Amino acid sequence: MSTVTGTARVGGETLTATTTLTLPEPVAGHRVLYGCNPGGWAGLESSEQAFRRMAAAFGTPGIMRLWPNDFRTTWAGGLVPSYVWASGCGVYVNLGSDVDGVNAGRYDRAIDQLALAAPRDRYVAVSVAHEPENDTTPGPWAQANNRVNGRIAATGRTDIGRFPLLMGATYHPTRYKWTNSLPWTAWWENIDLSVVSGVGADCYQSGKNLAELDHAATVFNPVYDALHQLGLPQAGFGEIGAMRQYPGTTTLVPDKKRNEYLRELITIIEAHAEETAFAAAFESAAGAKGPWNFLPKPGAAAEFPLCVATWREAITS
Amino acid sequence: MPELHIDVDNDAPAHGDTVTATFSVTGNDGTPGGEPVVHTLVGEALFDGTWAQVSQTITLPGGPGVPPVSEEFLSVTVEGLTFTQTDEPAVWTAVVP
Repeated sequence: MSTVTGTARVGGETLTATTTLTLPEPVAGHRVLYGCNPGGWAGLESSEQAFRRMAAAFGTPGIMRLWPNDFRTTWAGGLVPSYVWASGCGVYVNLGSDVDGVNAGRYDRAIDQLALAAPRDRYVAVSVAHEPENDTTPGPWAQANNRVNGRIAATGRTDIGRFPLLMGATYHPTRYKWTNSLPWTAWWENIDLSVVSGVGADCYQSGKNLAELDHAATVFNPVYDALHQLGLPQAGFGEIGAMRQYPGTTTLVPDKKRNEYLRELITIIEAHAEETAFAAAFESAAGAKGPWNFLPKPGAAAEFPLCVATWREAITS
Repeated sequence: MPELHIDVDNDAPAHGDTVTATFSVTGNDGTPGGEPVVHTLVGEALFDGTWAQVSQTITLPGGPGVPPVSEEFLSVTVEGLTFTQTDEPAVWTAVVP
């Protein structure tokens, strides 16, 4: 039994009152929420059709990763399409990359409204800014994250996951880099750790050929290392992908090899289950020929059956 | 003497439930004003060598009352929950994680 203490000032005098309640036992263990992104093949199917194909192939996901790219102020039918909402799965929403707009306070009311209206019957998590390494700098990025996460926390909805998000490779000291790339510590330096749930990362396998394909440890362990260094409780993987075909070619990665990577990453995540909130596989509308799709082109013969089976197992187990 | 009370709407919530805590204050009623008092005003005048007296009643208000003192609700705390004040200052809510 827990004691609830209320404090008030009545006529200049500070008074307290108490009552009691019995809180439920903490949830034993933690189940990682596995899921997908309902992108769909560009020009060939709608997001809803892609979602239904995914649900048929993978089973009901634990979480769907959504990218409305704005601050729509309703959840059902707004931030979350009605067909996703109706499935009852958790939702991870990337609110988009208008960092300057966030910092100008343009979305303050929407953020508050979204936080207060967020569903309580499923897990909900958010990030702001997608691949910030490409179009902003650590200062504005941290400011925008602090603003969004701080406002959400101020509403009392601390059950909403808040994950500042970088590309997975940024957490690795030497993995593929680009001009002006900065270490992850430079990005996180000004993040207010008191209002975040953990480290967000979009983690993809890469490699020019079979011999150079990343192992999952290379991709995921640096994120957990960053998590530990920051002393935060959980990682959230907004996008994950096993390579579909080698860059610049139409050569598919062998199903068995691709499945090997998936098995590795699931093993790593499950070893860190207590400190992993979710992991959503990427299915991209823009990536119709891209390297990370799980589902084949609509109407085409099934591809990567081993991968689909493995991901189905992860989602539904 | 005002007394502070607090109640919760659900004393055995489940994960995901919202708990509402509501303050109430008793004894903060102020003091009512006194009853009106009727006074008689008397006036005298010498009128053609004779004193004449006139009178008139006047009703004065009773003594001033004391209004209720101000109430400000500052916090609701319990380990494991974070309560937030709603638009109604006496009503606070928390979600059970």
